Amino acid sequence: MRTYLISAAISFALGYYACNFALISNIYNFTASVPETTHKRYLLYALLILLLLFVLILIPLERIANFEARRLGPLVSALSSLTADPQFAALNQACGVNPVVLGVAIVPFADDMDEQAVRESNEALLASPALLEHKETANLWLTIEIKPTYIPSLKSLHCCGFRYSNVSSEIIFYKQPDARKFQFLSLDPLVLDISQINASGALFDASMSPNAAQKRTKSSMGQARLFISSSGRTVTDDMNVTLQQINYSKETEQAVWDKAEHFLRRRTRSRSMSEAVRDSAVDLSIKVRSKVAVTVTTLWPIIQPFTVRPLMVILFVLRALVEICLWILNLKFPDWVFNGMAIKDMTTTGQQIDLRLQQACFWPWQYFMARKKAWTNTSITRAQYISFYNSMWLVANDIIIGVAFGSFLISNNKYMAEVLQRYVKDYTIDSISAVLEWLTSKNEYPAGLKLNPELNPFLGQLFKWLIEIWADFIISLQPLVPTVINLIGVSGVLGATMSLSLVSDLLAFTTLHIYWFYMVAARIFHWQLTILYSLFNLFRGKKRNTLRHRIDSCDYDLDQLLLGTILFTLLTFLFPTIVVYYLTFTLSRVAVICMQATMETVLACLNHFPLFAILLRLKDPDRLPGGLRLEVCPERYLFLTNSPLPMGAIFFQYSVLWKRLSSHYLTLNVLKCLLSGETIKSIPRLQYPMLPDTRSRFTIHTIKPVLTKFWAFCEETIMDQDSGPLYQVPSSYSSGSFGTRR
Amino acid sequence: MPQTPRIPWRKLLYVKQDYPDDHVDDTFLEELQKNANVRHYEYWSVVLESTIISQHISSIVIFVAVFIYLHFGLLSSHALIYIGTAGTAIGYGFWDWSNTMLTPDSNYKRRKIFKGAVLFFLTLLGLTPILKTLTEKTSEDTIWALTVILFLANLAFHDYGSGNRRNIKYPGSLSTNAAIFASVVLASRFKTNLHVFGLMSFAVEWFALFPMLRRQVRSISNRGNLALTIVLFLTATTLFSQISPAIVVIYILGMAFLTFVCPFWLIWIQREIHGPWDEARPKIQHGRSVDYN
Repeated sequence: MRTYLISAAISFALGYYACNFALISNIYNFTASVPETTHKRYLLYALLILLLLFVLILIPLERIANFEARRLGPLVSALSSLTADPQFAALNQACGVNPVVLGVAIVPFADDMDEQAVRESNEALLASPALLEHKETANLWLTIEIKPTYIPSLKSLHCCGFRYSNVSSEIIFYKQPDARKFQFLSLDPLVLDISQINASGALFDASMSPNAAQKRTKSSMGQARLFISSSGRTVTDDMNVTLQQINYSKETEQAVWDKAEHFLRRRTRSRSMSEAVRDSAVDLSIKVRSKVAVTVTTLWPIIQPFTVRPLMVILFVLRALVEICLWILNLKFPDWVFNGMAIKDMTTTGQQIDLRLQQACFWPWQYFMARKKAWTNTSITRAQYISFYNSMWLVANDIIIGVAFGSFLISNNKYMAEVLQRYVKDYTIDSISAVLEWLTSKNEYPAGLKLNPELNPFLGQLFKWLIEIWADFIISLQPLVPTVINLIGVSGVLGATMSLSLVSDLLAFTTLHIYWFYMVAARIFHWQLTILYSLFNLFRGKKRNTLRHRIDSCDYDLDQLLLGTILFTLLTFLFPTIVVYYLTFTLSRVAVICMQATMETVLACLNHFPLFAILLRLKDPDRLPGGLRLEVCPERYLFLTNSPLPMGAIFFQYSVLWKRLSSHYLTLNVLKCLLSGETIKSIPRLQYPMLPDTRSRFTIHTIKPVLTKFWAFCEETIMDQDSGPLYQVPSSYSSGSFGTRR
Repeated sequence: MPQTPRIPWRKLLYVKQDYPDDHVDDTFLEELQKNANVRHYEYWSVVLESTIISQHISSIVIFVAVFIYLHFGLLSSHALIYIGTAGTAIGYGFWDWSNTMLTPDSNYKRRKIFKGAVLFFLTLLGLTPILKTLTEKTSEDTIWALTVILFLANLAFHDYGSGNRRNIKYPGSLSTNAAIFASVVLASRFKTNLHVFGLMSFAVEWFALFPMLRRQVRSISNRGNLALTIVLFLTATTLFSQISPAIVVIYILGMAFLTFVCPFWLIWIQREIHGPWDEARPKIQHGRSVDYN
């Protein structure tokens, strides 16, 4: 009764809220603005998977125990056929050993039988000749009893026929990681930073690792999913191998199950009607699947020349265009123009385009890298997978935000243009001329500064004149402003980052005069500072020894001394005036640099937000292993769980970014540059920590080898039918009895 | 028993000698040198040497007096330039003559000296307008304080000891530079170009060239040196007596102290020589209880 009341009250409150605050439309807007429907789907999946896992852990324990106990023969043959199966060779190699039967588990209770029958069947099982023979001959034979609480305990242990009783044992439970859902356990936390992985090496080593085969240890794999370790046996290598075995236990179990059923079906003489129907249905579905597979495999050679070749040619042409764009972007000016900078380094937009193109070049490779089955080096493939999908999602989100931002800009372009013009005029022209006016005002000491009465008006007039010219130029550009804003809005189609980098470039353009003034003032200041330094040395009667990098005393000629001292005095008294002008323009320049750095940081955050990793962390923490944790359960059993990756490791890119930013801007070096009048450079290549730094140089000579490599890559991945990842879809159909396998 | 004369002891450890191990011969400390490098000063020679310092102080005082005369218009800039030029010409003539007399084989280049001088004075003439406005906004107190500090530096680092008559060597260059700096600062207080140029050229002659001439005079004759000292002293006294009698009194007293008392003081403190060979004396810090156990 009370619950009804409460729920009624809640629903009323919700309804009231929804009516009053337009909750529904808000929610609708929110869901519409959520980039992909996959988010919601993945959330649902996460719930379902959790449910499924719960069911999966509890049920098979009993089933498999029963199964093994009663049908030892089929199990053994299934295992031996598994060992012989070439498809499992890599798996077995990675796991260190072939699967064997380790022992028998006794279940002294059952739901559908009375106690007496259960006891009898158990006794019969223990007395069966096959089992006794195993007990006599096997290296290790365990007898395990499952208690009514479903907790196993070791009853006896036979080693080469000898019985060891009262063996102290520790039974560790674990939640079986599903390799198909990319769950796995690992001692080391998953490193998401793929730039640390040697990318080219990983591509070829991922399929097979010869090291794992050498690390054959005596610890074997328990089919009952128990791992029994006697004390003092745990070595680090053992631990890794064991984890590897745990990671693939699900796949092995599935395979064993299928194989054993196969053997069983061959032997059973009589089947009940329902079983027969079910089996035939299964057979039918397998037949249908193999039909599809057969049609695909037979049609493929006919379709292939018409589809694959043109596809490859299109891909190749696209790639060539991208390469040419990259080459143009990385083209350096000659040294006497813009200090020999590359085009992309001059503008943020250029850098952003460069980043996107490089990502586009990297994606196909990364895609196949992530799809490739790695038996041994799981973490690298996982990191590649996460990185790949993360960048895809980010690009998609970027485009959606960009379209929203762009449409806002386009619809308000008149107003935005007005605001922009006002701000540009107020902050970049009027304020600076006001400062100059104040500095050059007659018969006054601005801020108590004693400026030189000749030099100060000269510099003031010079800069005022320059700013007037610049203002004329800017005003002549005013009609273009709405077009520029439209352009920025349209570029939102390519992503918000593109708009943002265009805005950053616009800022750089509108404050170009500040940059020039800063350069002029800094040049004069630096020049004067250097002269003052050397003249001060002369004043002290010293000289800088460039050979030994030290100050030596030196005897100057008389006229050198006199002239040097007079110039020193002159420059010393002119210095404050220069400093004032330098500081004025430096501070405005620093303000501009701060704004640009902020935009750059926002850009970097947009480019590197670990969206996919965060969702994975929320949805399925088992996919992001951050180490192991052993929990003590009631009845003194240990439970091995995965401790998920901490948030700090997921946001590793931000810490990297912060490190790079702070090491570039917040250092003594920048202060030194400020004080000595050397130009402060903006940070290069802030946006690239997600790419393996394989190609740092783009020249006309590198295009050809890169393109040939790409062609070879296409041929390898698309044309190769047996091991090619694209073609693995039909191959999994044809092996229907094996379950799905990627 | 006739005793054979003993072989004299030698200061050789590696030779077996017919003497006990702890034998100390009379010749043991024969080669000991006592106070080998100590010079014993004589009062009048020290007085004569101290004239170098008094000359330099006098020259600074004269320069300051010239500035004050120029500043108050008691001395015209034309006159200063004429006097300076004439003095430089006479001084150079004497310097050149004495140089050829003393070291006839020296091959210094007159042409280079003339070229350098003309170039320097032309540059100075060109810089004069800039120097004129250099410290216009700076207050006078700053200028006076700066000048005093710079002249003290000039006094402290002046090259008193060496007989260098050709050029200026470190650290004497620092002294010259300080004086020139002070002159520039003082000259920048003037309102006309001619004043600035006059004082600057005088400063260059007075602080860069005149010390070399003084050293030259000293190396030629002691009597000339003494005469120069007295002339400078009298000039300084006369010039400053017009400005401030108090300073004249202080100046005379200071010179007397420097010339007559300081040499006596020097000799007095050198009656006993201290050095690392002295026995150590404990330094007891006051205001702190020392625990000797």
